[in-house]
Amino acid sequence: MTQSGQAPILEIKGLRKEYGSTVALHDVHLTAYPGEFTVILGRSGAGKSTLMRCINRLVTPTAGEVRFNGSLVTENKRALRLHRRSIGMIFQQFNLVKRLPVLKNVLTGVLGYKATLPAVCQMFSREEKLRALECLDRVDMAHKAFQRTDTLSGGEQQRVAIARALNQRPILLLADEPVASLDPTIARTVLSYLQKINEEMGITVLLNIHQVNYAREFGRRIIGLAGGVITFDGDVSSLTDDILSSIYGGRPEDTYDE
Amino acid sequence: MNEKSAAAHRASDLDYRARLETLLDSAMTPAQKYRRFAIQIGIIAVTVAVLYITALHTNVSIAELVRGIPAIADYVSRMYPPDWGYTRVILEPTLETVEIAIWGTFLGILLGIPLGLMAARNISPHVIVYASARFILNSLRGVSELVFALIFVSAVGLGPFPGILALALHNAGMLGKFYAEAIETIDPGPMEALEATGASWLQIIAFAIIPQVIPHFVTYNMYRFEVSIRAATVLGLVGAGGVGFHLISSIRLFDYRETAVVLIVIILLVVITDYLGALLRAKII
Repeated sequence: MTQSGQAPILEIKGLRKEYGSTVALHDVHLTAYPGEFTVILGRSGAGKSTLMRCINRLVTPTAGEVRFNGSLVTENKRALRLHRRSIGMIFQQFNLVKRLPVLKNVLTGVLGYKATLPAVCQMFSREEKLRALECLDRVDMAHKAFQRTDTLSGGEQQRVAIARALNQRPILLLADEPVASLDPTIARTVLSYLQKINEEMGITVLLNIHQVNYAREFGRRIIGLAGGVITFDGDVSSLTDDILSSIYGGRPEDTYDE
Repeated sequence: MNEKSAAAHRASDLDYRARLETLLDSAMTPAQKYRRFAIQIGIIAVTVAVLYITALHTNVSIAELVRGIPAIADYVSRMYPPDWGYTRVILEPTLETVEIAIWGTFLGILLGIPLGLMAARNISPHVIVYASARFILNSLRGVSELVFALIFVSAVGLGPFPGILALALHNAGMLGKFYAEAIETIDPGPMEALEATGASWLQIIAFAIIPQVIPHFVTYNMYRFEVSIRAATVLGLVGAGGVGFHLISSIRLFDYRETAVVLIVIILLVVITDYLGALLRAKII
């Protein structure tokens, strides 16, 4: 999948993360290029979430380096804020503020671009509101913009979360098990929105998932993660059952969701 | 996926922008916007009016306060230096104050738990039980410790015991309300699961509710213990025991250097309680 001639959007070298005496990530090397749709496949506890959180520094790595869009991701607060706002993130439990209207949740995506004071006073311009609506429309949720978020179904909430991430104007989207708590039909809808965003807007997508069938359906490049080690990195077409059992350590059929 | 919206995603499309604008404007009609604005102005106006009128009636006056500063300074200066010898005199009454607070809090907790369980809307066995428990809690809270103390002093005589009873009743009113509110905010999922296993009301409370409210429970109890220490220092005022008697008599006899010692001891007690409470909470939560 390597698009030669293009600078990588993400370069991870020798990444290691320890929690006490357990090693969550062990010497991970990973390079991603703009426009890729990459699936990180592995069972729960393989280190997928930790890997993702090392990219936007929600988790501080023990060793190794992460380069995003050419520059090193560090602890420097100002630089980190700039990094983070161009990386959208989508969570398993949506992590929306349920008591707020949908549109306000989407407007929070733009906070990384705003000064603290007007944002804390919840002042958003008409232009910002229109942009948030446009982001909602990309996931076909504009008609629910003024409802309280907790009146929406799980799938709808995840689409709002995608709109919030889009409102960050990201160049990289991290999706951490975005459909693990959704039923299969709705899961496909949500994943196809991610696919559409990748294809139409050219945003690089990194998708953590544990179900092999979704990985096969939506992924182009697959990275297999087991016990904090990358055991496979290649095109979805070369993902054989042998490789799957090396990722899952068991019969791959057990990991199908339906 | 919806073809119409996909086609509309060309940002340069003027129709598309107009469509978004219409949608944004549809959130609130001009009449609604005007009404919301009017309501906000109204709330501000009422708040300012209430504060202004009540200030007039209660003689809130910054000028008075400023004029009074020399008198306050004089009062404080007479407290210096504290008469440390007085510490020995108030040692025993201080201990008594702590003892009153301990028992007043303990009995308050005992009484507050059943009242709190009955006053929590989501688990109360019956609406009549709920309403009566709320009423009892409100009445207990509505009467101050000092009034309860006066009643109990005339009933059981002078000393720490009426102080304990007074604190217990007021604490029960406070704690019962806190417990009820903590129970009302718990996650109902575990309750439903236990109900589905055929568990009884008390079993559900023991396994689904108590583990969820323990951190709140500890926080509230520590807070009320702290308040009780402070309240118990004043109970001596009406003959209900403790260091309060010495506080009031030293002020009445103009022995301000003794007053200073009593105040320092009370502050120390509250600081120690706060520290112990923080330690306990860190262990439990």
